[in-house]
Amino acid sequence: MPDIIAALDETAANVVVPRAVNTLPPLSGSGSGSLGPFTASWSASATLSNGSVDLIPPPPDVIRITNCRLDYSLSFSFSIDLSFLNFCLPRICITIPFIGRVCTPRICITFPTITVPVSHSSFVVFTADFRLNVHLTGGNWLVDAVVVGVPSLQISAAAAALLVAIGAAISAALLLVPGIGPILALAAAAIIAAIGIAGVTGLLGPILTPFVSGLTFNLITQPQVFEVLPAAPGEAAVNVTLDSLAATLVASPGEDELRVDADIS
Amino acid sequence: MDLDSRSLAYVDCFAQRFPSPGSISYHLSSTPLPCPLPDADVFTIEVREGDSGPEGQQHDVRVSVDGGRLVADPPQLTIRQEDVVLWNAQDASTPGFAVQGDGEEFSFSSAALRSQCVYSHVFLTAGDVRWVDANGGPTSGTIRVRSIDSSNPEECRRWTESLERASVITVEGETATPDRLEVLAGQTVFWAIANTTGITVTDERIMVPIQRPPVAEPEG
Repeated sequence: MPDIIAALDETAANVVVPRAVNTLPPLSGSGSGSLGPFTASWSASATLSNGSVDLIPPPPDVIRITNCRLDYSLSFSFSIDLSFLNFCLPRICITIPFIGRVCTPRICITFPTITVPVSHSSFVVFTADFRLNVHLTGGNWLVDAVVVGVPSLQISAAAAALLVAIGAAISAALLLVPGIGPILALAAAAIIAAIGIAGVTGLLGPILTPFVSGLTFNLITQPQVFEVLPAAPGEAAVNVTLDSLAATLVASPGEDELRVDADIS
Repeated sequence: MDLDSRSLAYVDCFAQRFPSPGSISYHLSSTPLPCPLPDADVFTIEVREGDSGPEGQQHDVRVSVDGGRLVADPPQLTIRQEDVVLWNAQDASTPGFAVQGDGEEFSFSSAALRSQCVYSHVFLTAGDVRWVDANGGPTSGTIRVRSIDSSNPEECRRWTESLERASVITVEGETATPDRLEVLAGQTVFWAIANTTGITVTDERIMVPIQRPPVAEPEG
């Protein structure tokens, strides 16, 4: 029988856990990845918030957070070699009465490599399971929640929105290319088709997934040694040492609970 | 790639007919100044008597940059009376240039289009372009450049066909005919200059008023 038992029911867990999630600092990262046939260099930041908590005793012994929201801001740029659009105007001849026949040479329009910057902010909602991890670190007992596996992010809607943003950015960048005028829409359509939803998903997934894989947040921090105030005047305060701490999810007749058992000396 | 006969880009051509025999020296300049810079390279055209046929023959000169200087290829030409010489930039890396030449009885300039010459320009960007004479004359006109819906196959086909057709504006005196024209982006427009005092074909939007310093009075 443990010396101390503390318990948190699901109602309380729905206050404590989201609060713990909300206090996580902003996450950030940068790198490069494939955007369809192109390579994009990117930087991103994200914050986690909200979520509904369900305490599920063994099996599977997890804290399940549904509707957890990952808000992210993404900036990236990629280069497009537009040489695939190069075309040549045909030789044109006219006959002018007072000059004679004049022919232009074949004039070839060549296009450069352009860099397309894209900024996009959105969010994804996901469900993740967490397991409890109790450890003594730096004189404190910590009860952390550690994500189980890699949560699956449903990013198809986000990818579609990002593809729209990429399309707008491509059109804006192409507008600055000399001579692109007649084939502007064609060029934009060709590039967007080359990227596609699959290309955007291929970029977005590897950017966002690291923000939620390995996700850990702290639920309880308790000093190993703490002072207990005297129960009655005249008695001396005593220091209590938490020798061991265990956190478990237990089924109870009313609501499932997160229970913390402590032994003291 | 602005519309400006004073600064010929690679989507532009300038052609001049040479009606009389003689020796012509010309230079290429990245400025439209009528007086050649002291170290300008001089190229020549030898115009011989006797024409090449009823329509004359066309000789093409490619302009490029070599060692930081504008060069003509070929640098010397021998042509027949009534022949036409056409200048065009070799590629997009060639900066805008003007062609200006003088002979004993004949002179010409792409920066002052006078007679029996042609300036052509490929319009690559949709929009309305009002062209004027940057040399101060009243000659002007408007060209409406339309874009296409490249997702429409029929419109694409019409556009491709239109690239092989040219529109011609004839300038006689101070009058340009037609003074309004509609083309598709990518189409070529020719200005055929019959006889003027020396005009330019310049997009009004790039006309910048320049404060001219007082001209020195000749002494004596």
